[in-house]
Amino acid sequence: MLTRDESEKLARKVLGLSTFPECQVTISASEQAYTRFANNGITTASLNLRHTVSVAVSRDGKAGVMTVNDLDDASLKAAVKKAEDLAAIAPSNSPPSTISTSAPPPRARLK
Amino acid sequence: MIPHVKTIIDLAVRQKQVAAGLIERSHRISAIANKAGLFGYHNSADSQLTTTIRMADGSSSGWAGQPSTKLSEIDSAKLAATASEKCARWTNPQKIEPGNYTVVLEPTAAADIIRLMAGAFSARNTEEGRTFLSKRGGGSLLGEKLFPEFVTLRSDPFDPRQPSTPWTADLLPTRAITWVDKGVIANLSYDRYWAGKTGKEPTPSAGGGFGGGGGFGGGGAAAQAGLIMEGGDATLDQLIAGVERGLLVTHFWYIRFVNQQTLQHTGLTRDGLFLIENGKITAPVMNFRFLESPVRLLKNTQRLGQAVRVRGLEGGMMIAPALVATDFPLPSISDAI
Repeated sequence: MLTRDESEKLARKVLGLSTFPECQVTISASEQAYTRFANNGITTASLNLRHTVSVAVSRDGKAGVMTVNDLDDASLKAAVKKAEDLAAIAPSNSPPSTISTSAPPPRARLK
Repeated sequence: MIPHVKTIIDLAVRQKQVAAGLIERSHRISAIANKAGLFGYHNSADSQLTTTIRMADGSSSGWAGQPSTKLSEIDSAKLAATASEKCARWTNPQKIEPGNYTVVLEPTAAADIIRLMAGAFSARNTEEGRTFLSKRGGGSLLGEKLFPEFVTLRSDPFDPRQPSTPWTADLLPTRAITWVDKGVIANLSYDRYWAGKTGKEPTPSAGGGFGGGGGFGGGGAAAQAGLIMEGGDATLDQLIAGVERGLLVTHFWYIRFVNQQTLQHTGLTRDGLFLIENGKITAPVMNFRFLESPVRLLKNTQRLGQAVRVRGLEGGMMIAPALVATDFPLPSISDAI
């Protein structure tokens, strides 16, 4: 499972690959185990290990998103490029339906 | 997890019943970062066990389930006993007249209905006239008392019983927010977009907003995370003891919308429906189709039991109490088991 430091390092690497002014990286990883039973016996035992990295980019109101589950440099680079290529051919979401991806205000401001 | 399954199956075999179910544990991390300098990391674990125990000939069915952030707190012996006993008690259910009944909803049944309110607290939907909190002619019912004094509904992303993601889908840090405070509508859910448009502060609640927000990479799926309805002191037996004539509902099945504005829904009772007469369970009863909204249910609620975390239909989690409500519409019989 990705630690906080590993996640941050991975996210920064992906952000660094994007040429767009706005880029957001979402990382999800999970370990899920389950046992199903029916007719008084076990039918399924499963262990799933999953991870995904999703890249959302936007420029001039045009957005593109790509998700990958290979974390090597070439795959991450290809994913960022694909997101940017998709944004380039997407129609523009002009204001007011967009809001900026600026960092959130500090918690103290929220009453 | 195998010992939990063995406990359930062993009991079912001893009782000449048939058990089915699922036990699951999960460990998840999520992280988010953007070019504006935001970084968030969240680490969580959860588990659940649900079981349905039926008679070998399929003539009766009982259900029990429990979620917990700690697998060690899942009480498989208790769940097995509950499901098995419900199955045994529900044999040869009586057909009684459809109609409006006083009901005792067990916590899972109560949660299955109450959770349906989640989307309605969206400020945008409400102010655009699309929810039960919309006022005719414009505005909202914010600040008005709609429910009895003892009804408090809130979300808390930091409740240790069911922690959820500490940021919203629109990238604000989450905080605890009360939606219904002692019967009064206390807050609506403003995402950043609608807050900016209307000159309000956003209300960033558990994991993507309480029916607000969404849109940012599909965060809307967690819209109901962290939901809590405050309970009372009464045990389930005490709630049953206070009912002259009514029905005890274990949980519901296949709930679907009927009216988006009033939140009226329909579905079936399932896996244990019992007649209560003079404060005692007297007979198993054939299942009914219901036609009710969480709004009307909470307006008709008379008394609350203790709140516990439950795993409702289709995996929906919340902390909910058992409750007693009058005038619950059960307009037709279902012979499904």
